[in-house]
Amino acid sequence: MTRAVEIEHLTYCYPERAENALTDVCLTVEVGDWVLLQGLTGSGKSTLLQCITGACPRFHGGAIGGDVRLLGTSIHRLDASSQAQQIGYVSQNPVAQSVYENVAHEVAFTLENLGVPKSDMFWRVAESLELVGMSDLSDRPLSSLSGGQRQRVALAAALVHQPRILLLDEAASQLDPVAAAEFFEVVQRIHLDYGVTVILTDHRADAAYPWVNQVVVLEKGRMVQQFPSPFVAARWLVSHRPVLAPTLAHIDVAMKEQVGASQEVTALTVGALRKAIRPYFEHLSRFGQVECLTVDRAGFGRHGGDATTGCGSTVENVRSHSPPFVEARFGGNEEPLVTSAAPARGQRGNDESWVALKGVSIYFAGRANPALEDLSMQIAGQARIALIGPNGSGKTTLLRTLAGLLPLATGRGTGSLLGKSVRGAKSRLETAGVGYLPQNPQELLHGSSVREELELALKDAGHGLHQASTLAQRWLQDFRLEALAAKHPRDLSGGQQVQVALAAVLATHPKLLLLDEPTRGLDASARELLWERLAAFDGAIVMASHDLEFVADFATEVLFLSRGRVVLHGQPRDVFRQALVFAPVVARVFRGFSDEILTLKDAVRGGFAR
Amino acid sequence: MHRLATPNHPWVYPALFLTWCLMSVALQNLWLLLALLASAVAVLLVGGTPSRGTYRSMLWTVRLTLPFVCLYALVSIGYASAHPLVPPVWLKIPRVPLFGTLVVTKRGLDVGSTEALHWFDVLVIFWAISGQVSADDIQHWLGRRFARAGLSLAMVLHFVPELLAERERVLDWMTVRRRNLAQQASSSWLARGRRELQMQKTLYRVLLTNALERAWQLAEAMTVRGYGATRKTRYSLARWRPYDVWLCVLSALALTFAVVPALSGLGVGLIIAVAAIVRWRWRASLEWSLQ
Repeated sequence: MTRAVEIEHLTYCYPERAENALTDVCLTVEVGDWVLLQGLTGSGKSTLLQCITGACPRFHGGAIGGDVRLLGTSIHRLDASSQAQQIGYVSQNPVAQSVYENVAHEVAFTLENLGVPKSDMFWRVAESLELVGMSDLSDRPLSSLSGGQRQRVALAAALVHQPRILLLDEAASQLDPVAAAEFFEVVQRIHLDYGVTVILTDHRADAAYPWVNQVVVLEKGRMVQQFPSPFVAARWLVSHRPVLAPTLAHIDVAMKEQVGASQEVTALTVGALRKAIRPYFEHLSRFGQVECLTVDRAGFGRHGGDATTGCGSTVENVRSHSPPFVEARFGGNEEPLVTSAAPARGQRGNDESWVALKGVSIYFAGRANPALEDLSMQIAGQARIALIGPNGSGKTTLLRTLAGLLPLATGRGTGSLLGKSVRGAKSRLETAGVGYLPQNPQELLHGSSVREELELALKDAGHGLHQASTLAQRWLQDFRLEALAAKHPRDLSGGQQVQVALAAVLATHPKLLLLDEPTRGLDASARELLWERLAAFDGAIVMASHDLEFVADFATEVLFLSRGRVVLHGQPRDVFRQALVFAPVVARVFRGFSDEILTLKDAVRGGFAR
Repeated sequence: MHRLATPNHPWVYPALFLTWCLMSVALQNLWLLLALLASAVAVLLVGGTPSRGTYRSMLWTVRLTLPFVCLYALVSIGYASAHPLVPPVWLKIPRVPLFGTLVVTKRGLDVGSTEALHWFDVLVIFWAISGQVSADDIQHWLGRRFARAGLSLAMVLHFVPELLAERERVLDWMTVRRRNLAQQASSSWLARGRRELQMQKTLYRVLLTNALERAWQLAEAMTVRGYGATRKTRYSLARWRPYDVWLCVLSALALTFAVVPALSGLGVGLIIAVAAIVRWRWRASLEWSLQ
């Protein structure tokens, strides 16, 4: 039987690089499979996709060894046109890959290149736009579309020539949770209805696992494992590469471990996992324990009879009435479950108001609706505020307002960080001591090396040449970037670039740090490193993010924005207990069972996850 | 500037532009030229929603072109007054060596302002129509023969707004940073100047690096999508709709009337009607596209 993709002993090295990007990779993908490539940043996932598309080495140059066969034909025998005919490719940045301005024309670009007759183009374009639900917008300019819509257009453009293989490189990474789910649903329909083989990379394993039927793990350019099922992969990852494992698998395995059942992963969706854990919580509720099942970050994971909860029940009480798996859950573990020094949610901050907005509205020229409407918020020292909400809800606008980049149409701003109180009528907040890290901070890196980047930032901050050099060395040590000091910042991985950009911002000693999607495109270990950096920051942080897990883990206060208004506001626990879609996956699993458990860390501390 | 949701046929734009230009050249009556200018301004104002931004761009256009038009008018007035000198003479200044004697006559003023209005009219209608022309239209004009040139132009036009948006983002970042520095650093003008220069250097360095990176990414995406294959066809959305045909017919009629002195008033009336139709139709589709 002809296979969709066969890779034999593939080795690839980019030009002017000493190390191979891929080494001896062997991979087989059957027709109709949906494969997830997993690995940390720099593991070679994107390079592998580029080898399949032919961009490596045809476009990038470099040395390639081994063979890649597409539907039985070696890529060495395929010309660019034949290869393009078989492959559809969507990257994480649809803006970077769009050629034309008009939606329909953009979709037709591949057809033009393949010489498809004009008479065939119209129905193909119409069909692929219909497939992704964009028919109504076919005449629109691309610039008028949202991020999610542009990604769908990119998908339509990748499907218009009816390829047999679809490659998605972090294609949903820039989308909010709703748009990402919709995107995967469209891909699922294409996969099921038309038998298209899909190979994707995505750092958000939880979003991808429910759809895929094969998982490949890469590490430092080598293929570590190829699993025939996501369940098998999840189980292996929990044990061997926990940082890559889907969050739900951590919980599933832990729960099974406690009941002494087979530790195979069987639940990779929120629904399936809730079904699996329901008996456990139902049992607890019979003994009146559920309302006492609190997981406090300062005194974590004590179930019942706890001074922090004030409930009368005790752990002993639960244990004495529990079935074996509950027994196992509490068995002999009298140690406090908390090990982290992280502050408890909602406990940071003091009463001093650094910046306070009241009734602020922002209008953009030519737009009838306000970008921000009647918004009020208060930022105190040490605050950790997260802004969540769909794309285009006003999160970035609010950050830019706080940075003093946008004039207030109405409302007023006060606070100790403002030079003077500001009241509507086109005036801006002149906030002092602000550090602003916009989306894609790597766009701002301009030094020829990491060291120079930091030195430039320090010189800009008023330090002399010698002092800047000395301080740069210290920053490099603090941020564990010494090994990368001589590298060009643009050659670093996404996580490393964020670290460098953050170090450059912190070099100006801000009091208020504004972060716009800081975790976008970062793998789990890079996110963890970022968390540590931010936790150590001595000042207030306001962060806009779609990464709800990170928000739940980090923020003390959450503002849910929609159409420029704050529609929900409170501590993470309060917000995520109510929001249905805009809630971390773990919070959705434990909703109604224990509203204190919002993140994997919470679940681990509470003993519900490994 | 917002563009149409359902675009006109690409050839409608040059047809309209040509009509306006030829009419502007053909008409010699000052009042008819002013009426033509008013219709061009009306078309220009259609370009966006009637917001402050639209009027700002209109004012910007006028501010940019007006000095040149005034200069041109002054030279034309002087030249037309002197060759040949037809009384009544309104102003005469003493002879300036090498420049001769500047004379302003009624005829000179008439001819000079008419000449200047011709060009101002053309400039305004160029701004108005170019705001509606898309890169796809330009590709259509260039046809298959110059398809690669058309594609390159389309990419450049597509790239410029991205570059401007990026410039805005980098400036935002630099503004915040500069505000912090202003409080720390010394306030000597030399230090401020040096810092300003450093900031500008940083801005353009960042923009250049990003532009090169984006060009590289785009080139890769195009390669993966089969660009460079010898077989190449062209997808065109252009369709002649009845509306496009009527627009062209009316424009041709207006031009025909305008060249006949006795009917030139009728010609201007027709082109004002064309402007009104264009304005109404563009506004309607604009509102649709903004919904």
